[in-house]
Amino acid sequence: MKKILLIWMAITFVHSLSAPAYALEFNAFGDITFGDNTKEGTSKNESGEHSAFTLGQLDLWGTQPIDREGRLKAFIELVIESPGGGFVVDLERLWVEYSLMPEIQLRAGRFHTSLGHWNRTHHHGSHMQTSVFRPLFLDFEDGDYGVFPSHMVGVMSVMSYDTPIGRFRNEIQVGNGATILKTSDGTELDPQNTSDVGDGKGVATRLTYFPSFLEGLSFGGSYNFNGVKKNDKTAAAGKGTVTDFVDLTIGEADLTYIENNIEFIFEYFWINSEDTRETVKSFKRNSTAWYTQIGYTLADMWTPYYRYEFFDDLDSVDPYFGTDGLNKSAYTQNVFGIRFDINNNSSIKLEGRNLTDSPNKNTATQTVETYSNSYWLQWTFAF
Amino acid sequence: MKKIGAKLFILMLWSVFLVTSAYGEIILIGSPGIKVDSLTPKQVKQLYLSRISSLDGIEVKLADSSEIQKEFLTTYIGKSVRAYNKSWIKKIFAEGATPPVIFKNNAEVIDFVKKSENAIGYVSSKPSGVKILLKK
Repeated sequence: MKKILLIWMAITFVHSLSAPAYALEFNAFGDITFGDNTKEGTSKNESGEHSAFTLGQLDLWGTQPIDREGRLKAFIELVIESPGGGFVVDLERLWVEYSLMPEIQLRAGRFHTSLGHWNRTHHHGSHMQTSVFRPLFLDFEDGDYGVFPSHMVGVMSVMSYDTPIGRFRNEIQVGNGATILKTSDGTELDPQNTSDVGDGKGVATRLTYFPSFLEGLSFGGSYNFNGVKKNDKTAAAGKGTVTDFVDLTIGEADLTYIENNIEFIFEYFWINSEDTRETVKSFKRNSTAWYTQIGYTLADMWTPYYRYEFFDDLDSVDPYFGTDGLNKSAYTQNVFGIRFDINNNSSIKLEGRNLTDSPNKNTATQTVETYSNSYWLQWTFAF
Repeated sequence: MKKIGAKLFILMLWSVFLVTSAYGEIILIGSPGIKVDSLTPKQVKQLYLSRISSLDGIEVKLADSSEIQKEFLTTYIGKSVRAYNKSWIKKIFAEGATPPVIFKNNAEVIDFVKKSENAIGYVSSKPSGVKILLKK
């Protein structure tokens, strides 16, 4: 008996030695930004009188095959950031993927919502995007201007297929629905990482077409649906109350050309919200938003760019954007800048922004439009 | 004197030609058992820019050679080394794509392609023991 046990232990030990061991290599993105914080005013082109250095996000990420055949893969992205006060660690992306065949992959975890080009292409490392900041209305849920569910926790399929006219890529996601979370710290969209306050799930799908007649060109379309509830965790609501709020449907179309040193992006969003609150059920409201960005790289190093953002066509009584919801104001913005790539691992960007903010536009409580200019200098790095 | 000058000039031109064509062809090679017999320049570009990751339903592994990468990129991809590396970092970060394995020289690339299943790489000298898929 003792001999059998010893042999079993030896076999187990040798087997464990032959099992693959994987060491994840973390990469990092980081940035430090200096901004001339603006002074709001009612006259155009007022410049700011405050300035500050800002430690940007430290983005630690890694991807690792976790089998010998290369069918299983894992991806991790941790972001350390300061929302104000101290620093927090956010698990921004975490997924495991199985490749059924080269054309089809299945994933489970937390990923960026399949909503538009920017949200699926650019994540938390500002080194990888041309500009200093994301378009304001595409800010993350915990950002000052975030209005779209930029993350989803659930399952996802990715399918790519080649045809004579070009390549198609389709993503389908099903996950926890986004919820408006109200706490003593404020109100934001919550992708619900660990639970779902409602039975309905969020769905998202994106189809991208890469035509064979022109390398670098792509056309994309996305659809996203969430039965958004309101989760009020403020003291006034006791331990927290969950109520119906809106059914949010977002449609998106985009055109990009990224080739021959040119970066051109155009994205257009349609936002439909249907009131699901008991007293005002079924009211539907429509809003739109869009942006366009163009940049050109000279000598592999210098990229001047310009972006225009339009978030000025909000339905004035849509509770989703109003004070009862995310409390976001309409705006338009001009962004212009230049990026200098020191090398592949570091860049310096200089950006100017002209923002026209229109809080509560077209409502009874509309306040005066404010105009502000701001200037930003950002040094990014990656390794 | 004039004849010597002319001969020297021709010799110089020949030397310049030899240096600039030192790498000659860039040859795309594949594993002995790979089920494709040839590649088109477009397929090479699509593979190495991660626009496709498979050929005829077969997932392929890619090899880069730091010795002749610049020449390969000029010949097949039309990008600088910096732009090429940047495009891969974006793909890896955004989609978790698997980049090519980088080797030092022809010998290492050939060894990898020979021993791997469905691997593709590029070399500058005629190899043996692997499939030749494209020459330029």
